[in-house]
Amino acid sequence: MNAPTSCVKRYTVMLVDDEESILNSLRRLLRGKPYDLLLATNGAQALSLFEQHSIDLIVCDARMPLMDGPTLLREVYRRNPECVNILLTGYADMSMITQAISDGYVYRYISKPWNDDELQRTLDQALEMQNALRNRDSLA
Amino acid sequence: METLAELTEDQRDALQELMNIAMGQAAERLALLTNTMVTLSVPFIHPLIREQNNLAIPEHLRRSFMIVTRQSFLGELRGEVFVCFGCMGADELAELLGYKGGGLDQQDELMLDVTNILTGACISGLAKQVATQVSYDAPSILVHRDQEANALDELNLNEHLAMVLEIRFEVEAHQFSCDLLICITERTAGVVVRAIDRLLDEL
Amino acid sequence: MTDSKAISRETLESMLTAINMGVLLVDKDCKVLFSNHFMSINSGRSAEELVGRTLFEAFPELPEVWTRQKINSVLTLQNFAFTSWQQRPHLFNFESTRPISGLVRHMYQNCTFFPVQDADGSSLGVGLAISDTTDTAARQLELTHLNKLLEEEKGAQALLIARLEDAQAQLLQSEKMAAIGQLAAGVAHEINNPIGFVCSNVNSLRRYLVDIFALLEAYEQASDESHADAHPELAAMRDKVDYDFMRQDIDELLVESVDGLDRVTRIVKDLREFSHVDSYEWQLADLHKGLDSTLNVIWNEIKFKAQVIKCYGDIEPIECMGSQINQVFLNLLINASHAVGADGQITIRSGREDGGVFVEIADNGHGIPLEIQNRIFEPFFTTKPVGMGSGLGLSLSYSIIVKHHGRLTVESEPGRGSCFRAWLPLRQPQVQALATSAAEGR
Repeated sequence: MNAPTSCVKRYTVMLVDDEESILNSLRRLLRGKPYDLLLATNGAQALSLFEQHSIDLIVCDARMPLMDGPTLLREVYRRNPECVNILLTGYADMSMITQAISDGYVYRYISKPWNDDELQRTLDQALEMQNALRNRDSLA
Repeated sequence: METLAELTEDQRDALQELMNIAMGQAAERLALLTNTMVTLSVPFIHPLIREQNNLAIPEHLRRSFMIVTRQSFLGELRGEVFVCFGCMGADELAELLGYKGGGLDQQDELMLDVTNILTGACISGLAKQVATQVSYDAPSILVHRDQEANALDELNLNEHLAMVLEIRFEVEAHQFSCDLLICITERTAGVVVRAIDRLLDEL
Repeated sequence: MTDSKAISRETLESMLTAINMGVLLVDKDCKVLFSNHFMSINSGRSAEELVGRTLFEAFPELPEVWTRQKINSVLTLQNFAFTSWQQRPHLFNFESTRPISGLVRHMYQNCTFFPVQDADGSSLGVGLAISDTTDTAARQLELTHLNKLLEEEKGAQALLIARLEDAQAQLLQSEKMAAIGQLAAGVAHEINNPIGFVCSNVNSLRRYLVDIFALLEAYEQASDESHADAHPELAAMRDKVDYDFMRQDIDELLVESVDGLDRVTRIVKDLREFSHVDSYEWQLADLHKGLDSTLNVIWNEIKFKAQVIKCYGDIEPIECMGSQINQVFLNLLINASHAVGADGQITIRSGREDGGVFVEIADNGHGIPLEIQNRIFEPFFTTKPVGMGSGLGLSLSYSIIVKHHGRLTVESEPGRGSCFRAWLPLRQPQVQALATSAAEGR
């Protein structure tokens, strides 16, 4: 039996956090979503994955050893400004976050511990916005 | 060394008699000087006050005074007189003694004057009875009104004392009073005792 | 052994004349009978000029009434009389005997009056001996002056020490609070991560279970009676594991677990909110939020001791250092909880007033005796037994409120209770806010 052709667009989403348990719980949460998930536990790994795949959205922990979230996302933005970057932060360094947002390389932040529904909504909104931008650009 | 505690009853009576005469004479002379009624109480003879080698001021005097002065008498009869002043009508007395106006220094001088007069009167009276001569040094303030009430406790008064006589001086008309403590050294107390014995012999 | 007759009258007189102190002899009318060299030198008048005159003609500076009385008493009582430089520094008006080095203009004197008899023993008059105590007096006066200066300095030092102790105590306390705040923040951060994924995992677990049970049910539906007879062990197993109970309990279990995790999340949030580690600067803060987070943090402390009644009024956010204001609330609430007995009640009121906001924390506890009501804000003043409470809480609270340009007052009736009232202005004076922030801010 052929599965019906899926008209639902799939996105490539990368999750970056130095704690694997967090990655796993996020994976479980997003299981039902049309996301192809890529997982990384550090900035270097994330960048190498970024080079190999076309990534639509990144959810990245703010505090990681070696390379922290903002640094990684700044680098990602430099390579592909279209990718939507979301910071996951338990450490409330608001000035750093607001700076990153105003510099343009972070779309939004989610504070830990996150609310499952809120997180899902944020991702939905982020990808919707990205879609709208892409459509607008393609029409232009 | 004869001490008061070792005096016989006869000797004590004789001493009391001796003191009464002395005080009587003193009172007479004071009245003459001030032209007013003065009373000198019957001297209360304290038993030996010996508390760890220090003089202990009697309790009932300790609490009610403001200023304590002292004056020494020297010679065959040797010792010190302490005069305890409380709050009193010093102003009228001042006039009697030739002072005008007020002021703390004047008050102090007045009390030193009173000390001198009383000491002179009482000791001279006593000295006459025991047939000896004494001389005096200047009076001075021992405990000042500004000091704390228990400054007396902190004073180290030495000499084992054989004899302490307590006398109250009053000028009724002027509501003035003070207390005298006559302290005779142990060594010279013998002079008094010999006089007492002479008195007894004469009887 | 010298024959006393050999010492002639002239010798005696010359001794008296030469002696280095003043010697006078006056009769009962105060007429001068003898005056020695010392008196002449210092008065500038010779013996011939003095003898025969009254004391008061010779020395007009003498107070007549007093002097006459003195002479009189010596004659009557036949006794000495004295004056001391301390009460009567200058009886005779003589110039200082230290004309170059001395700091005083006049001679200080101790005088002695003594009765003098003539050869047959009758009273001749009164002798005066005047001794120069200028040196002693000068030294004594200087010592007294120095003592006074020392006492003043001592007093100032004591005051300074008290202030330093106070400042040090405050510093210690705020360092402690800062350390606790940092600790709380660190712990909170550590807790956040695992709480985050446990929460998410439990939700995922729920979803998995929904699917699993749906599958089980499908299996049950699919199997008919014959299948059930062929596999009696299934029914047995179903009973053994108490399948029906589990099915139902799993829902409750998961709900309670999620609730527990929510509570942990809330506590961590309140701890962060209370310690305000994020903001050690002047910010606009909602005092109600501060009160609530403080209450949550100390709920364990007070929940068994008192009922808390909130009468929150209508207020607006004020400019303050949130962590410090929360510290004040913490102190007042804990104090209230310690003061109450059975049926304890703590009432929190708030509202606008006079261009600012007030917060009242009232209790129905044992109250504060009138005589110590104005001492309770003193550092180290405490009525609690040793070891319980440092006595610093109220004094720190007071200085925090003062630093915010507010007022902290208390109304109390022993036996009825106490009411502490903090009033804070809406905004801080411009210059102050910047200066304090620069000193304390991170």
